[in-house]
Amino acid sequence: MIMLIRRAAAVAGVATLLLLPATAAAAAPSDQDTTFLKAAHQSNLAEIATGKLAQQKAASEQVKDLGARWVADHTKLDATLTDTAEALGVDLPDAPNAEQRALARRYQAASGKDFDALWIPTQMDAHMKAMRLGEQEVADGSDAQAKKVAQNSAPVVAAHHGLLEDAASDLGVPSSIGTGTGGQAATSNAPAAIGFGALGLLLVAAALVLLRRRSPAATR
Amino acid sequence: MSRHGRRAAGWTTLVAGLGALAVGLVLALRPPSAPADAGVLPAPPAPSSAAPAVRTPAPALWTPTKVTIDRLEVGAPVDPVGVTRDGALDVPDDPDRLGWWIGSVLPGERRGTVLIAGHVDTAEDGPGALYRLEKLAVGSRIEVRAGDRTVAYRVTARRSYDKSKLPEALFRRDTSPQLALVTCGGAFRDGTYDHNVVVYATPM
Repeated sequence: MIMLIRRAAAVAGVATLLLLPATAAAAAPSDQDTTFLKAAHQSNLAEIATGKLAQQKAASEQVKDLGARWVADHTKLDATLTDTAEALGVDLPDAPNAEQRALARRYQAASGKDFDALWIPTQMDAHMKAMRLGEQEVADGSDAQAKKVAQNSAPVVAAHHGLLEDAASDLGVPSSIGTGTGGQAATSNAPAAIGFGALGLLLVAAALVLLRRRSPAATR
Repeated sequence: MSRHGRRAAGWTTLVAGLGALAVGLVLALRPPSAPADAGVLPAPPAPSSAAPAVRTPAPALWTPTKVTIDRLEVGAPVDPVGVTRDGALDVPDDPDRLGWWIGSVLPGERRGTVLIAGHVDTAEDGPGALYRLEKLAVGSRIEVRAGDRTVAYRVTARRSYDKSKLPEALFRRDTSPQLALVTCGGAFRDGTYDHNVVVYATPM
């Protein structure tokens, strides 16, 4: 009887040990998963807001269209992400991060062509960051659902990046690089010219003195 | 001194004085020379073919965020910048910030030129981060921060170009891997410089 109880206890113990990792994985995503879900959500929020701004403020139809696409795609991506976060019990932030908010303020301040010139490169940067974020989750994440979010976002973000590269190449190669309006670094001949000028005047004055002193003597 | 000696000295001094005045006048009227070139550039790549190089997204590479030049005591943040509608590189207005052209390659890529430009100075804020770039010696070290890595470069050459004659290779993605730091230099007229100073560096 005692033997039987012991055996039962041992079996129960082993079963618990076997079950533990499975339940733990489902209940608690890794730090990497949590970090990714939060950051990707913030990136979606920022892109949706940015897309709306582009629709309102851009000078070119091209940038306005990209803005509309951002809103549609990132809204869709974020819906799946939010469901996953809820299932995994991850609390999501309700606003973009400080860097994204600072960029939004720069967009707010710009208008017309200035807006487009600012929007394309900064969006390229934002999408590159989003790509790296997803790549890191695919490589280091542990929860299958969280990794799936990263895998699903990757082609969308890469497509956006491709569209931005097209927009950038439509603007072409720079024809000029203007990098100075102060004039303080100018090479100048002025100091040398002034030096020679002053020396010349001094010598001419000296010569006149020498020649003048001689003159009265010559007339005598 | 004899009369004759004094007279000779007078005329000699007069000639020397007029000569010096003439040199001063020539210097004042002639345009100053551009900052001197130094070092050797790699052979430029073959002229660009009709089909542009295929762009492949580079894995694990980030846009540059900071340029450090210890020799010049420079540590400047970098923004990604494009081209304005009138064709100029959209360099940050703040002379303490640099701009990485989004059409150029990323630090760490196997080919192509990483193009980063900054104001030498501005009328509003005075000298910028690249104020002394034209003095940077060949062999100096430049570090570019991108993401969580730093790519180190060694200066190989420095060139001055007439602003309207920038070499095509500066904007190519198929050169040997290099960094090009660009600012302005030369004579200053009507609120603008007449030359671009370019420092070329290769990965260490």
